[in-house]
Amino acid sequence: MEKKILFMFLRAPFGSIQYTEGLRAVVGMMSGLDEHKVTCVYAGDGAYYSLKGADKSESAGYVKTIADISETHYYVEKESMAERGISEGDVDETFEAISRDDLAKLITENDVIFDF
Amino acid sequence: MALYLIDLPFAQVGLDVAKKDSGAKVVLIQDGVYLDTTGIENVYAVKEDVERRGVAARLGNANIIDYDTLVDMIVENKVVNFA
Amino acid sequence: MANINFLLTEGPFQTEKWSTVAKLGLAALKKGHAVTLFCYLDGVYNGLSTQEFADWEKVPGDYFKELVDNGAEIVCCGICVNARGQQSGKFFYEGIKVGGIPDWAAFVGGADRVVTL
Repeated sequence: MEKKILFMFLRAPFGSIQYTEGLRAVVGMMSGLDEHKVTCVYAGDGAYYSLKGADKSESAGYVKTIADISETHYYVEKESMAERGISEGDVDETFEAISRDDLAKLITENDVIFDF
Repeated sequence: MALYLIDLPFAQVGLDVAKKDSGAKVVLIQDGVYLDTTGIENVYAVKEDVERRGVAARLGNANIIDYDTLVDMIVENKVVNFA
Repeated sequence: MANINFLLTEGPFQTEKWSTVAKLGLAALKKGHAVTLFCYLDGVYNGLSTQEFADWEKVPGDYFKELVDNGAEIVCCGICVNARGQQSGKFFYEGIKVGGIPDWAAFVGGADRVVTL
């Protein structure tokens, strides 16, 4: 059965591999028989991955495959940005900034909530 | 109206999001039992995690639940993972 | 009865996530629920039958064997298995399978609840 899945990326990138293996999982979730619909949000220390200077080469292939399958949103949470001194100008254009209220709404709207 | 499974590393976002959900049930799991949940309603803590750490007296308003009860709660509620 | 899917991304002996999954999974099976488990990243170390640790009466692998023996369906990420030198899972307990993320996607599709640890 097709499900709406929210992937929350909560760990700082590079210290552990979840930031990119989570995207491998997104590809798998979207390409299985059920064709789940996925939304990605970066919050907590995961927000650091939205920085323009962060090396995204390891996950570029996954991001391209995801884009080929379906339109997918990459959100970064404003409160997590503020807590870490990240301004909207620091963030790569792939990411759209949303509030913690918006994150709470996404959690309500999706069937399955993963933390990576 | 969801069940929030919360461990220590993701607690800041997890607890804050749970507070925005009027029917939230918060379950403190693993190191999550060290959290201060003052002011949050419907808080539960996993018995084995609480007892090993010796924090039962520090838990305030949290209800202590065993794995059997947690399974029932997981079945009855949508699960939001912050663990 | 419900169908519960677990995701386990950490290995045995280092953190307690394996223990939480094993105990929750066994409690769910005893209540008659269906349990599936996808082992991802270091999670694939949990199903090894070759674990040895004299300090403990039961090693983590014993709990995962118990899960399978009680009806849980366990699939380990094949890319993760081979990346960690586990040779297609030849040391896993019987019944613990090697597969891919599409298997996990199917678990999620059929699950009433998903728990990640």
